[in-house]
Amino acid sequence: MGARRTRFIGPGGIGLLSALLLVLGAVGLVGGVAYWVNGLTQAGAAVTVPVHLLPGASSQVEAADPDRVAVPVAGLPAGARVTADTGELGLTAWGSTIPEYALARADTLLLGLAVAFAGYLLVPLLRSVQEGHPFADGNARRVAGLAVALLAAGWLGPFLTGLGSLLVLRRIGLDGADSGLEPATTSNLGLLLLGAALLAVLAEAFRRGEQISDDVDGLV
Amino acid sequence: MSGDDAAVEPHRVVCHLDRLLAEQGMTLTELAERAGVTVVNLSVLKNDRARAVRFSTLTAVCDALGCQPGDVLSVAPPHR
Repeated sequence: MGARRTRFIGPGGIGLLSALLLVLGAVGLVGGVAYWVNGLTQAGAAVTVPVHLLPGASSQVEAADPDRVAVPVAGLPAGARVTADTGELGLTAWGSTIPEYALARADTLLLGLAVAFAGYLLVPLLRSVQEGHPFADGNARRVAGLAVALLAAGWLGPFLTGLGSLLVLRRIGLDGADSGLEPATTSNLGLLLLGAALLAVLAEAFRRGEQISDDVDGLV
Repeated sequence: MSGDDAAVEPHRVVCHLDRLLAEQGMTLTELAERAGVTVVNLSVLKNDRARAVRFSTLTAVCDALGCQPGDVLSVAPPHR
């Protein structure tokens, strides 16, 4: 059957993809960790965390800068300001602490680590596909690992950063119900769960494939 | 015996391709050409390294050698 012989990606494409993943993984690992550690050294300076503006907290937005606007929020202490940047609100407050910075940059750290981990998992998987053994031992485990990486980068990271927002709001006294601000997380949980579920199904398919591959090993 | 036990135990099927080829004065390469089976697969079969044989392979080998499956394969008695 002709359709079964259609090649979706050739050896060159797989090689290129593997090389790209290696580079992305290295950049993610080094960049993510460096950015996070750099944040720890800036404790005491200004830290910016994502927040939501509760309804009724602000009556006007001053468009001083078309790309970044200041949002007037009642009760903000001196040295703190809220700005809107491409649809997100960022609360910047001086006098940050190490835990605040550690959590504020946890999303970038986990994203970098997840990209590196995904590269670590995908490169041997792609190599086995290139060698004609897509159901080699361990590939099902690697695909399942991708689901974990997706959830870590997409959900856990933003959640930790939201905790950082909570710490900052608490420190500057805006953690009450009447403060007008609440911690924000930018993750889309529905999409993430869908992606993780698809990867889990794929992992199960690979596990079955490994079983079939074992069964036909030695078949002539 | 469960299916899992069967999977880990070595099989006792013995292939007699060596003898059949010698009797007919045929090489493995010639058999491969006549049967339309790769030399690699026939070598695996001949050296008892195969764990399963397709009916199509067995049919092609029997056709090429003019024999029956029982002439190609037999089951050795248990070691114990």
